[in-house]
Amino acid sequence: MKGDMIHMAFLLLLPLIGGLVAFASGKTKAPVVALLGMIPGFLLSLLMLNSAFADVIVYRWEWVPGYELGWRIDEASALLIALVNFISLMVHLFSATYLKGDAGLNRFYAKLGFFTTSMLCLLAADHLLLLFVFWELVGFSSYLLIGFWFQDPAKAKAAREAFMVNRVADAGLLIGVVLMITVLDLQFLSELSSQNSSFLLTLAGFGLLIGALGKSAQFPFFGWLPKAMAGPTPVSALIHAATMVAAGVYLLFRVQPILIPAVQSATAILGALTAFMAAVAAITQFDIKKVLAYSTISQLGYMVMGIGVGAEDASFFHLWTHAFFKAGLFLGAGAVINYLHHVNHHNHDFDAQDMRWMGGLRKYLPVTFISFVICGLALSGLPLFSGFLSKEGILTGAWLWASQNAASQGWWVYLISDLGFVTALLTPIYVGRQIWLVFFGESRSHMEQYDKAEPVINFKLPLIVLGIGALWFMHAINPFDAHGWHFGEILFGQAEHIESNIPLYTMILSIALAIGGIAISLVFFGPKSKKTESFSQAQGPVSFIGKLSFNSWYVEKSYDWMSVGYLKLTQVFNRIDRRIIDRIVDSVGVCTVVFSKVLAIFDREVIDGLVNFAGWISKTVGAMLTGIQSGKIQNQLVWLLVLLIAIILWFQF
Amino acid sequence: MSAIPLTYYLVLSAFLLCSGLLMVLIKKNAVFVLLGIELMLNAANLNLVAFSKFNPNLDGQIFAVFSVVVAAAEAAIALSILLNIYKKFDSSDLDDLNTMEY
Repeated sequence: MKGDMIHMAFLLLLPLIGGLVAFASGKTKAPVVALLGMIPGFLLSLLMLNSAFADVIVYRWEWVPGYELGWRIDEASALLIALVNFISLMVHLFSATYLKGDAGLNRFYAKLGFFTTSMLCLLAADHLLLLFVFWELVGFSSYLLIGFWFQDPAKAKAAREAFMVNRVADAGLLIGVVLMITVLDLQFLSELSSQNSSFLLTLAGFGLLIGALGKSAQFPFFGWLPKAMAGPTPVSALIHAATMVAAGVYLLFRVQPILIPAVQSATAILGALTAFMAAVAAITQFDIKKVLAYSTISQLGYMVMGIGVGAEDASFFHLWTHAFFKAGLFLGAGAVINYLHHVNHHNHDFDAQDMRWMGGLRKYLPVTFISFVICGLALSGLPLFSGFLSKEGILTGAWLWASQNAASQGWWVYLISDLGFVTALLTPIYVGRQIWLVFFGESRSHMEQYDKAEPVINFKLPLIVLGIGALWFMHAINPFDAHGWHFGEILFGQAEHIESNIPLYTMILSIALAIGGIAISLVFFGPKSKKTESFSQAQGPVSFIGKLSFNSWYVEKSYDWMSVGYLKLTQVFNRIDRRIIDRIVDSVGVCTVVFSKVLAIFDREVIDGLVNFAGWISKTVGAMLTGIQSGKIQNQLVWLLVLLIAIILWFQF
Repeated sequence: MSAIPLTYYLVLSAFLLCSGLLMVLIKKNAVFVLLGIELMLNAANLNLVAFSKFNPNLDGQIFAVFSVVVAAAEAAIALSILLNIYKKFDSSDLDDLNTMEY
């Protein structure tokens, strides 16, 4: 037990220690030092995988008397920890070349280590409070990494925006967590079980959902992820594709037992909507990274939808496969950007991320090309690739859920699974468009052979490994069996057999959609199409739908308009305030002064008069009565006599 | 002997009392005030003796004797106080003895 604790502590802290030592050791040695922290970390995580499969590791301690916090690494956590370590290792390798010569390289590795440790702790946390703390740390380190080139005001602004959007959503998570801990007494993720539906539970469920939507960049919070592309590309691969954005899905996966049907439906609707909206937005982007960002949002939408429809095993599987191929895509994009940057560094107008300048790159970056295509096909959901398996599971789950709930909830539930299928058609279109435009056709800017374009260990190794990770055999033996995941049985037990034709229909339909999508993209964006020839002069879409897509449904713009409208509203209220409210207040003030003057007169004349009158009476009576007390004994005797006679007369009559 | 009825005694006694009272109230000199008090006392004594005359036991007469003795003692004390007052204030005029006046 104690050995496990030390093991766990090392596992969680090694990336951070590596990063800190790298920071201290200067920018030339930093990559090597950071790798020295990451490689043992990765090996430890494999060991942890082994031990967690044998026995779940739980560690609880009393934080303050009567209040326990806890870590817990079960099979799912261990898998994701190994995944994060693996992707982080690849990104550490890749960054060493990608950011070579950057003045802040040691700072970069410190931030990267900090992020990795935060993410690992988030996955290992069992208590909701710990989860929240590391959730925030992950958001904060993401902010640091997006704003790595903070000297550029636009990039610093993008980092701030991403952070602020996350903060807004985190308010929801905070509400959920506090409600869960204090009122509902559900403190440990591993002890959640289905509860009786209540108002507070609904509120907590929606709070957690909002937090997850913010972190996983779902509608209506998805605007921050494309902005987060301001960070270095390896960071995008690690944080904004494979790990951090999946935290929202992970949270939903964990709290799924307590989500009541209303929250589940909302999750499914928002997930499907986001998947569709982001896929549409990805079709018209020019920036190579933004296409990938929107596709990430779209795929996360699938996962969220999967949780919502009760196919959380498929969602988890998709989270796993998506991490490999999306990290591969981002690192491929990083290699492309790195190459273009090198061969065009004399041209200052040149934007190394703009696909309008690319084309024909397969000749110059062969390994990147192959890896990118494999990962892209996995993303498209073509059979024999990993993405097909997991997406298949989610689509099947959505269809099954719709068919089961259509009677009780109405026809609209089919819209959710239909949106999933429409997205499955859109995905290969934008992936195909990107591959055709970047790697095929003629070069649209200056290109030359450049022998350091793909350094062996730093670029080729991660690209090849991640490319292999996008193939089906890494995940399941049967390339058509969505429930054949190697780890599926360990995590979720034996998959139940479904007596229905829906899985078969889903498979046929999704294969047809994937192939059809690629065909459409070939027609529109293939090397011979007219669009591609004129693409370098493209100025952005002109049609309404194109604009809608290019501006990602105007969600961000509508937020801007909302804030402008709000400003105008405040100005109107300001005017009302000055013209009407102020005048009323002023006249009330004048009235008060007049009234108080009247009151003062009344006070002086009447109240004071009464008091003075009372005083005058006592003074007069006193003066009269002092005559009795003259001090002359005979006078007093006279009074005595008078009184005596009076008393006698009183008693006699 | 029994020709004088009680009313005569009482009238005489009332007259004595009133004259004593008058002296007490209007005389300036403290000595005369004391004399007035003696008169009032003797009016009371006269009452006691007169009532005793019509009631054959001697209680009233004995009481009157007591009263005379007490009056003598009282006169002695009062006069000695008066003497001391006179020594202190150099006057026996009651209007001058007003140190208790506010």
